[in-house]
Amino acid sequence: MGLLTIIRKSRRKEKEMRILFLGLDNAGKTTILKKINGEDISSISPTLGFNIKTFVHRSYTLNIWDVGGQRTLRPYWRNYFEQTDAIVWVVDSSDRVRIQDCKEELHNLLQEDRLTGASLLVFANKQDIHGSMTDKEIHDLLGLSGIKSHHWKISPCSAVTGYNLIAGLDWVVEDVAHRLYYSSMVPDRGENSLDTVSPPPPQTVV
Amino acid sequence: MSESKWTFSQDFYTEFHAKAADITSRLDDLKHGSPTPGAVQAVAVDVSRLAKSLVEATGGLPSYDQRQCEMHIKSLEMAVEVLRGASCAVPKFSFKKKAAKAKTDDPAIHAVSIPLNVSPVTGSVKALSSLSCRYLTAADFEHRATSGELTLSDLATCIVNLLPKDGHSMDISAIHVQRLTDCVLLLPRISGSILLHNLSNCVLVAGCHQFRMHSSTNADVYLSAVSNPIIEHCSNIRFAEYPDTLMQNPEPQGNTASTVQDFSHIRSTPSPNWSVLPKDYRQQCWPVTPLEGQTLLDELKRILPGGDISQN
Repeated sequence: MGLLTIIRKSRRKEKEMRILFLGLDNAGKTTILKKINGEDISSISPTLGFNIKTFVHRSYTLNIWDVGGQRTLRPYWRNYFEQTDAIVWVVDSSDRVRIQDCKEELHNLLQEDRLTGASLLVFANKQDIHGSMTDKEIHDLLGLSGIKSHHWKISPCSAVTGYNLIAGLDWVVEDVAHRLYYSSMVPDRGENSLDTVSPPPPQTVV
Repeated sequence: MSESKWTFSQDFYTEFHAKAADITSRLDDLKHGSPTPGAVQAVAVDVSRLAKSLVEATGGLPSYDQRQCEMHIKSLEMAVEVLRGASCAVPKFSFKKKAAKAKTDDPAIHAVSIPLNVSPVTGSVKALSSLSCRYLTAADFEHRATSGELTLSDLATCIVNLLPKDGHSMDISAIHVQRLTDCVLLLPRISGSILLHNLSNCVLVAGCHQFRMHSSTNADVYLSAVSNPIIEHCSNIRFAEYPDTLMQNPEPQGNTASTVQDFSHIRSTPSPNWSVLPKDYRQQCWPVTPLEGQTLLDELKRILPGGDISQN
């Protein structure tokens, strides 16, 4: 029995996943988490430090770490990298001014060794705000098509209305589950893509 | 990672950042004064020394730290290059653009000569940028009818009044503000968040869900926020409650001013970067009607925390 088999077996028993929520400040990381959990989102303060949420989703126990995105906190992100199964990168779709900043932080993050193999979901949040950038625009501005090191997907969503949050989380869970628990089964499933709800026709995949 | 390696990387990280912060502050001093080639050279030497120490530490640092430090060095080197350019008076560099505008002595002429620049972004975004000596209202935006996101950037000596007028209110859910000098901002209460960068000598009236202020100095903030307002890399910020006189539907508000969090000062001691604006210093009379020319300047002088308008 190889080491990998042992690890797989022990993890299958636990059926746990560790998911890291990151992104610039004001992206809506905490609000998304609270909305998913059905908590009050009307008086959330900017996160000083981090929040941990543990809940069961589709029979997996998710340990979600939501770390503050203020500039002074970003150097501490590295403390949370170990054993991360998936990164959820949250983008404020109304913030055109800092989209370049957002791109740089994301690409820096993806070079990190300890995050190798982690699935990446980009949440284009705040779609409820009129005039926000679309997921297609954000896909281009963040240069997502250049990401070959991680299995990724971008989903438009709104933390305020709850639009697409569960669908996004479903993708994360499914993607990680395939890799961790069934990786020997089907190697060629879903391509990196723009669309969440239904698999896109090939020409929309950039 | 072994214990000693871990300690080493932690120590190095701390020391590196202390040195980098020192260099940054010296660079800032030079930027604001008149940099001599000698002084710039001295900083450049320290930057390269720091870069050398980073190279020597290679292998002892986690790769993420290593990269972060390298990027930090790179940004310092670029700042030095910019200063070198300035100290040798190479004409190529000109970030005097904004300053030159503020310098004009005749604000009346100036107000006419500057066209309204709507920043080149797509969608129905509301944006105002690169203006000076103006009284701006909702009428200055192209997309008055739409709702959504509002961007204000690069304004100097302006009063921006977006308070609801004659029952017409702008439906704004997010506000982004960048690089404002000597400005007064009168904003309505919005449901979303306000994000501000690089304000100096400004007065801001705002109501929002979340409030974040970055890299700003000398500002008075009259705020109503339902969550803790935060500041980061700021100094000399004074907070007060949203003025009752400007409130459309007066509601009881929490004591926002006492819940400010300073992300640059995460300690148990009180932050030196902000304070509560004493009652006697709070503005009672707000410039809610359009002004121009000298009266605009006089009004700004009366309200701004610096008491004057910078002429640089």
